[in-house]
Amino acid sequence: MPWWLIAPAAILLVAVLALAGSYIYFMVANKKMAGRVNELESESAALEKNIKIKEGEVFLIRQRIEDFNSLLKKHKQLVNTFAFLEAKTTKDIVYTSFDFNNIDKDSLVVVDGKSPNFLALAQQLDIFKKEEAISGLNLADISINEDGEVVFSLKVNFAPEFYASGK
Amino acid sequence: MEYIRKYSLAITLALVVLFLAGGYFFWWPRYNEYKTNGKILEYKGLETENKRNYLEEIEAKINILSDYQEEIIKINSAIPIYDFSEVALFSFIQKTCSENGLVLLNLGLADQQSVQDINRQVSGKKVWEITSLPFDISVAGSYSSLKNFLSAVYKNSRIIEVEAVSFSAEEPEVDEKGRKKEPKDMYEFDLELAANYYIEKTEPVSPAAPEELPL
Repeated sequence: MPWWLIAPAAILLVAVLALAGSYIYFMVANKKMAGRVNELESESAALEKNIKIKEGEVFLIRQRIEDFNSLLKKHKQLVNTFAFLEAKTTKDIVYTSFDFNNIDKDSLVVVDGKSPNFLALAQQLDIFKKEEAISGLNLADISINEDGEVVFSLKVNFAPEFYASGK
Repeated sequence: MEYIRKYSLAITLALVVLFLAGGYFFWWPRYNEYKTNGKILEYKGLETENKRNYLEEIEAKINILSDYQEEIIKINSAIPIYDFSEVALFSFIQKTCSENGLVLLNLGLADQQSVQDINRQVSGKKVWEITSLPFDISVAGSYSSLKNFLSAVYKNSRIIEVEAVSFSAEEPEVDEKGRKKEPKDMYEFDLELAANYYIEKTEPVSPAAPEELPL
């Protein structure tokens, strides 16, 4: 064999061996990697399942806290209304009926009452008008009874924050 | 031997071409597969790691929430799960009435329709929803008893809304001399209340779109 052919043949042989070696390495590595990917996929699926369960638990607690908060905001301390009326009503005014209705969510209080005269009623209205807790006031059904007293019906809307606890 | 010598260049070139072809057709696809699998493995590893971290995060949050077990129990008692029985609720109302000096005259579910709604079952995805159970009561007692009752209902851990209250004073009696007697501090109060419950509702499955007919 001529000397100039030995060198390229040797190089070619080394290259073939390297190619074959790396080919075998890639085959083995690919097989290993495919196995590892499968392992990771099943681990990932198990984690996913666990995450869903735990998320469900957290979501339920969060939903309950949020619902509780929103209900608490709407929760009305109706006793505040009685305390307010007792404190802000002059001694001349006598209430004969009380009606609170929150079914339409506007917290309307209707009180029927009687006053010895129009001046006392006007004074009472003046007191209520100055109160920040009252968001709406409407006087209706005014008449004079057989005792000469002024009979009236008063519709009062209280501001929503008025019903919050501690007011 | 002479033959090999004569064609040695051609043989060498043929071997090189064979080598290159083998490299291109066998080795190169395996190499690409190796590179792709490496990337997939890296991605899957990262994905799993992220999920593991996320799960740890959720578990840590659950652990934090477990420190507030008492508060969670309070919330659960504020909005209990509806068990198709109003006995506990009505028993609470009766007890609160008597504790505050009121006589319970009448108690009933205000809206039968809403209870029917609660009992309704449909197939589909299950979700928790708050439902209000309205009921009304008539009680008799003094004005201060009513105030105490309302305070007790408000302060109770179970959230019960007072939707309506109405009462009126009776005309004072007249004595034999025609003078009006001092009015009695005794009223009949009508109250509309609403308790909140959690119910496991089932969202109806939306009907599938009709298949298009082939023309």
